[in-house]
Amino acid sequence: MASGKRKRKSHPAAPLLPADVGDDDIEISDEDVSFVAKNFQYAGFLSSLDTHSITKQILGINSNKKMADNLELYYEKRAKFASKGKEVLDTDSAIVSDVLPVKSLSGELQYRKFNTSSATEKEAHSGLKEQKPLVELKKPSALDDHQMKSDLTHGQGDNVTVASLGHKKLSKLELRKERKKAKKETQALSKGDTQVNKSSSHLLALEQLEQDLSEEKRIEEIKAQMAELGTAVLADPENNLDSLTELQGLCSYRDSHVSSMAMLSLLAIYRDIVPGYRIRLPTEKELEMKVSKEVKQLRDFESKLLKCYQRYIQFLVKSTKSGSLSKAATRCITGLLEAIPHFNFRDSLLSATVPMMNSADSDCRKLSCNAIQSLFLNEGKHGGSATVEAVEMIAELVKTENCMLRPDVIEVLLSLAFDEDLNRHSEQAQEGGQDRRVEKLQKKHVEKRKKAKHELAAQLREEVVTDFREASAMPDAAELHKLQTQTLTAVFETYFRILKASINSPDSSLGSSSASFRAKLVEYGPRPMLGPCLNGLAKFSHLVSVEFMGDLLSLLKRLAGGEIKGGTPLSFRDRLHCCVVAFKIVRNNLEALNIDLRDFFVALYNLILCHKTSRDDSDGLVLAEGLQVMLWETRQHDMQRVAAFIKRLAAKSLHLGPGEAISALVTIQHLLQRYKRCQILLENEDGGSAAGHLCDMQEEEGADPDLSGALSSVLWELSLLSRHYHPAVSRLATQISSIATSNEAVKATLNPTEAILLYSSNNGGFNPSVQLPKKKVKRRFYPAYSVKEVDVHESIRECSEMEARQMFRSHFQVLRDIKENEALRKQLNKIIYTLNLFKAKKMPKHRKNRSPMLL
Amino acid sequence: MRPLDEQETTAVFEKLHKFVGSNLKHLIERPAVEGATAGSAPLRYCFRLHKNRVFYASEALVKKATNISREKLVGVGTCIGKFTKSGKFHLLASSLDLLASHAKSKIWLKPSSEMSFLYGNHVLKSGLARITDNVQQNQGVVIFSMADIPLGFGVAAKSTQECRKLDPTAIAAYHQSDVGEYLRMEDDL
Repeated sequence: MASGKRKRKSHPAAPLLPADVGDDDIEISDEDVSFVAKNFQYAGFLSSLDTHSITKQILGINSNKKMADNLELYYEKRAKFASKGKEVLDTDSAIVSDVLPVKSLSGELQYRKFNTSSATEKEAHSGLKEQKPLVELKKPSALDDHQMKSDLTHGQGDNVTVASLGHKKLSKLELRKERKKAKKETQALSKGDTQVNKSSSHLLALEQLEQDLSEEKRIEEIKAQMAELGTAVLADPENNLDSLTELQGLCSYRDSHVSSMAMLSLLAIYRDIVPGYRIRLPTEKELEMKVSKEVKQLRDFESKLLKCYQRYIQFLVKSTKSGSLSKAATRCITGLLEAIPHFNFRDSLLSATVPMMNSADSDCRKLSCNAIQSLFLNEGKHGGSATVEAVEMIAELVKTENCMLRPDVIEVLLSLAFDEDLNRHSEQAQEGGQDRRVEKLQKKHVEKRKKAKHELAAQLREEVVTDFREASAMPDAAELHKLQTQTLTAVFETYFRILKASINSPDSSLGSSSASFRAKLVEYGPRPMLGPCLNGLAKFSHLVSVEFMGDLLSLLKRLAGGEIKGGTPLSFRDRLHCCVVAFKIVRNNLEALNIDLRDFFVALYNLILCHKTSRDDSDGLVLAEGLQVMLWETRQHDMQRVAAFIKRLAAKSLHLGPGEAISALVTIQHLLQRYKRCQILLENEDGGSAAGHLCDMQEEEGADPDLSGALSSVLWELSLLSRHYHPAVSRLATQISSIATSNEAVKATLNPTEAILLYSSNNGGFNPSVQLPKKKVKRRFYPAYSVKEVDVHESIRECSEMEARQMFRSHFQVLRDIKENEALRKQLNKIIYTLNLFKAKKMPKHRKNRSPMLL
Repeated sequence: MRPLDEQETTAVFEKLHKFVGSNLKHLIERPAVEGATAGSAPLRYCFRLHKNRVFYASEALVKKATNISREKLVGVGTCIGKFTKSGKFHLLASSLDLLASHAKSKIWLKPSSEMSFLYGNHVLKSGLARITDNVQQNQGVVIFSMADIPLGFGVAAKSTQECRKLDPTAIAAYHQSDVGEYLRMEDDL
């Protein structure tokens, strides 16, 4: 027993040996057989082991049932040789356990994958040889009962720990990748096995099948290979950069699905392994210098990585133009731009992305727009320089395409953010610098002797300043300011170009070559970029520099006035938008000098008449915004103008939908309350005021509110409006008409934009919904009828059934009597009529004949 | 009293155009209330020269004024200006209402600088409360108080753009005439 145990203990060393079958044979043969024969009593179980269930258990770990079924072939063989005992059993169990997939400690899976790919899908067949590492693990389980039991019970755990050892080093992403890969593997395996199963158990048949392997399976395997390569790189990027080259090769695989997969997996890899700095390749001089081993290693790695990356990007840029791969390539490019904007070759990424924002494919457009937006929003990633590059590229694109682009290109600029404090900081810094210089000069003058000392001190101070700058991670304010200025100039240059192009008719400025492209932009209207451009101007209105202001305002004025050189006229919306933008620009920049934007008021005055109520709300909203910005928020000085607007709004609100009418009326109310002189409009005496006597009502196209003479008119529209079908409108109109007489100042609680949103009836129905009329209202229409009804109802309630019956009886009695009466009257009339006829007939006879018949 | 000849008309219209711009058309085509009979085309306003002064009056009034001899007639309608000895045309303060209601460019004064202007001083940048956008240099401007009462008129010394950057003591508009003249130069008017 003791010697046996010792011998058994020597066996666990076996796994360390290479797991060749031949080796096993040699090791086990003589000694062991004799040992088993000697101690048959307790070692005999080896021959009668239920290997089927054991292998099943082991197989169940990673492969599925079919796999196990497939192996029945081997079990049959084993049964034949069962009497031969352990030897056969050993080989068998070794063979069987081979099927289990095993990961090496480093997490690399080279053992089978390379075999399968190199052996051109001999997977099913080569199962015997492939998974040798497992033999090392599983062999003891067949020989030692203790070990075996632990293996049987913890088989799964064992495998997991082996794998987890590898996992420990890997990040989450890698873990996910590995899982995916494992899944794919088993799928591939099972597929192969089912095919094997279907064919005969004959090995020759397997060879035939190998030739017939479908393309699908190959793809599956390539996928698995990709996963494997990816994991390898991620696990140890420095040593496995060659895998990148391999993956790169897969990118140009003939199947577009596979190549796009390869591209995307490369994207994921680069995202993780690219360092957080921009790589600068060493110069020749630096290369000549002697460096330590680590530095050299790092340099090699960097240059290699850079080369791979460059090839990848070149491939991506190329494939954006090819049809099938363009989407995947766009995804990769935008992904890279979002994740690693600081890294090399950003400019080629940008130059690929920017034209894509005008792509006809909406997905590509969206992706690239999002990427550029994320560049703008996360400036910390690249220090702001990428923003400048992107904006300048967009400006260039707009220039070359003559402003005929999809609006998305310009909408992106809206997400730019400018730090306004930056200007102040840099100014302060400059001032400080000047002061110091002045001080220095003075001191120099006074203390000439200490000149040398001073210079030293100044030098030191400068050194300290530069050191501090380097030490503090904060980017230099002056640098940032410079970048921002560049960005701003590019942005406003773009906006200016678009405005100018909108004035010059698009038809005349374009050649025939772009006619086809323009046809594609029909959905966006004749000036696709004007809308977003105006939005951008409104958003950045506080940043417009004073030098531009005059030109900008004159451009906007021409647009608002509809002065277009030929072509389709500007839409109502765009013109109104121009007015609003101009007001915002002036309001945000020129608090110092109060400027009266007369021309824009004229434009608004005429535009109010152009407004058409439509189903979609946008026009109304713009109108409400215009009213709010131009009339509500600014202070008016010219009462004639205010009166003109009040008059026109009142007249227009007779034609508008309820929402717009309310917003117009709210404006009227506000103006009347604020400017008491205009309340003269509410008085209905003839003649008006003296103020209007020099002008007369000018009802023509280019009407000027200052000349309308509205102050001498009467706001008769209110009385019509107070009978408006919408209760809120009529209520408001009545309220307005009583402003002058009522003492209490009713503060307007809504401003125009709020009002239009609150009362808009575009979704159908009234908003807020009208209360159903009460019954009283109904009764008023049929007074006589209803009185009787009420009597009947009330009496029914009060009286008992008998009384009711009686009342009904009397009621119907009366009715019957009336009917009877009518019938009798009719009869009577008939009789009278016939009698009269008879008399009339008789009389002339009587006169003529004087016959005695009647007598 | 006679209608203006061609040269005089050019001089008057050029002067008025400086202030009212394209609204000059409205000034001339303005329908007159007096003497208008129902159904007939409305009568117009016209310019008449009398004793070197230019008057703006309705045609009906002009017809009635013919009854008075030339020596006895002091004025008819609104006097808008006079021709100097050298043949130049000057606008007078009495034309202010006409100009104010048709003016293209306006300047509003701060209450503190109103009096200074009414004594015949130029408008300084510091007194400028508000200005119409897009005023050109040397364009005629009508000057208002913040309560929107016309005070006088003058010539813009700088365009709106330049006004922004102007020094507070610099002149923004040159004085030509103001309502203070009704007191100061009562005899001349």
